[in-house]
Formats: sequence, C-alpha cells, structure tokens
Amino acid sequence: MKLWAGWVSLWEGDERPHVLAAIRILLGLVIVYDFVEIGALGLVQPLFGVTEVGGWSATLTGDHPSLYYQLTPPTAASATALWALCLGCAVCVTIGLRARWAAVVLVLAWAQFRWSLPPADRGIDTLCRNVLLILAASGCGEAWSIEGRWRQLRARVPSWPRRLIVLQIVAMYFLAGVQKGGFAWYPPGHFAALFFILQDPAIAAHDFGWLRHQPFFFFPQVGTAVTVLFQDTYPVVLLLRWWRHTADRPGRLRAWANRYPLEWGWIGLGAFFHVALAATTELGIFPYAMLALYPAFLHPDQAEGALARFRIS
Amino acid sequence: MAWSDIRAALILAVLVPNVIYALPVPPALTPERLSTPLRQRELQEWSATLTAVGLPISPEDLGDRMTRLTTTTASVHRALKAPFRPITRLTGTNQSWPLFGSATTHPTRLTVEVVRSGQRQVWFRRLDPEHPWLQERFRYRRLRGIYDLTPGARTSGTYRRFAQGVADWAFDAVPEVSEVHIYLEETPLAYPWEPPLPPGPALHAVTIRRPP
Repeated sequence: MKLWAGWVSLWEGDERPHVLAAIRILLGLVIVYDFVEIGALGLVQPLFGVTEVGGWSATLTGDHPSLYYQLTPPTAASATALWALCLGCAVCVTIGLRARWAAVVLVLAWAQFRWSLPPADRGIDTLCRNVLLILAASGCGEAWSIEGRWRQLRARVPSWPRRLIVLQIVAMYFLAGVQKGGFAWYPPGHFAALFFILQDPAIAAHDFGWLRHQPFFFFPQVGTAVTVLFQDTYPVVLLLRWWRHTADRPGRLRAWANRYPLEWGWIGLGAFFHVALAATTELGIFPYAMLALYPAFLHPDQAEGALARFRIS
Repeated sequence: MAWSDIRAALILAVLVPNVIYALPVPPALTPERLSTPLRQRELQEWSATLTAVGLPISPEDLGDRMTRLTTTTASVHRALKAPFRPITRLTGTNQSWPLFGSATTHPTRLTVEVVRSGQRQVWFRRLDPEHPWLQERFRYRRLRGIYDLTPGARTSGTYRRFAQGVADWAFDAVPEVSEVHIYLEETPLAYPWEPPLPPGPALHAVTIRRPP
C-alpha cells in the first residue's frame, strides 16, 4: 500500500499552464516547419503519394496497407490532403486552437504517413508523436492560446503531463546510451564514433576531413566518451529531481546533492550537444524538437523566476 | 477509489507497454546481417577485447553466439509487444531509441550522374560543392532515410522508387538527358593513424533510361 501511495503521489499536484504551453508552441513550430519544408521542396507527392500516382509509397501492395489509403482513393489529391491535414493540425496545436484534439488528429494522420513510407519516418517523428499524445492529455492549451480570445483559460492544470515529458526525455537519452553497441563508442574503438559520424557524407553538414589530423581528432574522442557517459547516467537526473522534491526527508547524500544544481549539468550538456548537432550534422528537426522539450525540466515557478532574473539583468 | 488513484492507475497502464517497448533488445542478428564490413570489424574488435580480458573467443564463435542470443531475445520481445501492437500501429508510437548505435565505418555517398547529349556528367554528389544539383532536397532528412543504405543492405523497393523519382526530376529539368545513374559510392573510413582507404565500388546502382 505504501508503494501504491508513493506512486499516486508522484502524479499529484497542479501548476500554471505556461511551461506546457511553451512546449506546445515550440514543438508545434518545429513540426510546422518540417511539413512546410516538405511542401517547399516539392516532396508532397513523392513522400505522401502512392506508386499509382508517382509517389514512393507501395503501401497498397504491402502486407499492412495504411488505413488512410484503404479509406481514400490512391490519388494525388489524397496525398495532398494527408499532408495538409498534418500541417493544419500542427498549426492548430501551435496557436492553441482546439490544441488537444488537433494533437490527437495530428498523431493519427502522421502515423498513417509513417506506415505509408516507413524509411522516411525517423526517430524524432516517433518522439514528437509520443509527446503530442502527452500534450493531448494535458492543459497545454490553457495559456498563450488563441482560444483565450473567446473563453476563460484555466489558471491551473495538472503537473503530471510535464513530469511524463521529463520521463520521456530521460528514457530516450538512457536507451540511446545503452543501445550503443558499436565498438567505436568504447575504448576498443578509440572513442572514434563521433569522428566516423562526422565523416559520413549522408550525415555531416560539412566536410570534416580535417578531423583526421591531431590535435583535432582528440575533440570527437572526448565528445564520444562524454556522450556515452552522459547518456548512460542520464537517469540520475530523475533521482536528483526526486531528492529535491523530497528535500525535507533525511539523508546526507540527499542534503549534499540538494545544495548544488547538479541535474543542470546533465540538462545543460544535453542542450549543448543538440546545438553542436545542429551546427555539424544534417539531422533536420532532431536537435530543435529535442530542445523544444527542455522547458519541461522547469516548474512554471522556476521558469518565471529565471525569466524575472533575465529581465532584471 | 479517489480520482488520484484512477489517474495513477491509468498512467501505469500507459507506462507498462512503453516500458516493454523500451526494453533495449537488439534486433535478431542473422549471418547475412553479420557479413557486412562494419559488423565483421566489430566482431573482430570485440573478440580481441574479450580475449584480452581473459575471455578468449573467436570472431566466428562470438558471431554464432550473438546470432543465437539475439534471435531468442528478439522473439521474446516480439511476443511481449504483440498485445499492444494495434495501438502503437494506430498512433505510430514507440520507445525504441537506437540512435547511432553503431557509427558506420563504411558510409556511402549518394551520387547522381546523367547522360546528356551522349556525355556522362555528375550532377550531384553529396557534400561536393561542385555538383550541387537539387542539394536542398537530397539533404532533407526524410530523403536521407530512404537512400542512406549501408553496404550489405538490400536495395529496397522504396530506394528504387526514389531513384525513379530522381530520374524523372532530371528528365523534366533537361530534355537532352537520356539516361540517369543513381548510386551510392562507398567511402570506407580509417583511423587517423591508418592510411586513408580508397573509395569503394558503386553500390545500389540504378540506371533509368528516358522512356521513348
């Protein structure tokens, strides 16, 4: 019973909706950008269309045809409609127009694209859908939302969706760490993984051939070792946050850890890595979508305090 | 039962399948998948490391054991995920994050060549500023997911349709283009203290002629 009571208490509490709203807007903007880019590059028909109309999806001849193309005719108009539905819902999420319903419809439509053309759907797309489902169950539309023009927005919303987003971020980093089985991430491979990744013409944003020469090779080596250490130990962030949440309980280690903002070492390092990835690789929206989730680490009161300090300075 | 209990139970019900999907179980290795240059090199490196720490094992033995182990674990994982598959399929959600699990030592470089008025010309080569044709499209992440195949991977149907699409773009752009060649140039990587390796063969080569 004590265990269950602890579990229940973990998800209790409410807060002002601004952090969830910030995530809604930032993530929404990133998703809108991605779907607009598809249109701007002239890739709507290739990516969303089926082979029957010159698209690259063979979903209708596969073992598991996408539900969308079972319900709609295999035409260019259907492809455009699916893309427009995703884009429209992403816009609604961003501006806060029926944001929760828009998030649900976006997830369902985006999943149909995922099953139409699996190689074109990347890990970050999955992460976005996971988080959109959390946002759909949250009060993310209760601040900075266009609906505020015609209805009273709620002042307090449940805290658990923000905590679930933190859990999602922690899970992603940790699982990405423990699934690094390639030798180049470890001493037998001389910590050369980032060096190899930056030499991969499909991934690198620039020619990093100069990294072959010392002292430059040393930097990706350090980056590789830190990446593995950072990702494998990321769950410590949850422990540190739990200790801070239960600061009134006894324990020397808890008291010591609570004296310093230790978890911000991991969070700051993660943000730095994403900025570095954005500058050096062609991973598209990946670093930006990840950074869009980072406000979840702040309680709205902390966020307001930080912004107030920023304004004063 | 209070609302807080119901909410906690619902969150638990959502987290259980997510935890199952998150189990870091690698996909089943097959002799075919182990035959790629990257996997062969990894087997050699891990075999040497294990032998050095007093656990002698040959690369072949290690490969056999990994094949058996991953086949079993992947099969159990598949069975555990099965009840939740309809919902994850509907929502396109997952908790599998093998991001850069292996940094490949045999990457490939997408290249597009055309035959224009009888002359063969390179129009696009990834990260080559002298051949930038449609580079904004080719750098887009979703396209990279289609063409970024490693040596040893099968040429997928999606890649063939992508190649056809690229050829259509070239035919539309210049009427004199009679033939388009799309391939991935293997660019094997070496450590800085090893001599640079020459480019490998053209992989996943597809040739498309303008329809009469």
